Amino acid sequence: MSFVNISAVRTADPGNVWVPKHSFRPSDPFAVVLDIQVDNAVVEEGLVFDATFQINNPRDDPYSTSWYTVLSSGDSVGVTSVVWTWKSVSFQWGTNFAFWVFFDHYADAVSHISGGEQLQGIFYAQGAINILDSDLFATSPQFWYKVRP
Amino acid sequence: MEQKKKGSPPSKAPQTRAEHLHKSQGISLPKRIEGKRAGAAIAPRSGRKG
Repeated sequence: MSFVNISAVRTADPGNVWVPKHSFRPSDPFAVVLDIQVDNAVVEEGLVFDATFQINNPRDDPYSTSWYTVLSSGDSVGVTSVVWTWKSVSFQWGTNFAFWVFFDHYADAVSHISGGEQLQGIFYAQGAINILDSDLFATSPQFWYKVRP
Repeated sequence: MEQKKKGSPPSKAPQTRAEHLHKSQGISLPKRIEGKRAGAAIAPRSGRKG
């Protein structure tokens, strides 16, 4: 039976993605890392996958802590997560690898976010893998991190 | 029930809410930082401990 698994998710310094980092300043480099395992059959079949990385603010109260973004009309919409996707990625790195998205600064990752908790608060990262042309997928647990001024 | 105009090509449904807002009301969301400040990378875990 073929499988895909995300054994861990973490935020990290892009220069040291193997070590979890739980606290960031807005100017710090930032990465969301997924540890992925698949069995060899998936690799040998030449399948590809879409990866989704996200950071979330679960405090969605418009009177206090919510994230939102401002439209060109001047209206706003609430935003509970920032999501990055990478599509049609091959398994060229084998059956056990890490895949990450990174930014020069944490602030870049939330550049379109408004609200008092844009650059401070406690948030979580998570991810998912969707193997195309198959029934296989995997989701990660949540990894909590902090941002402070 | 909505009637389709004859001769008009089928329009592609917006894939995202941002596309929908832009298409239906001409409203844009603020741009996110992309390009050189963001990227993705992969590395094998072979040879690593833990």
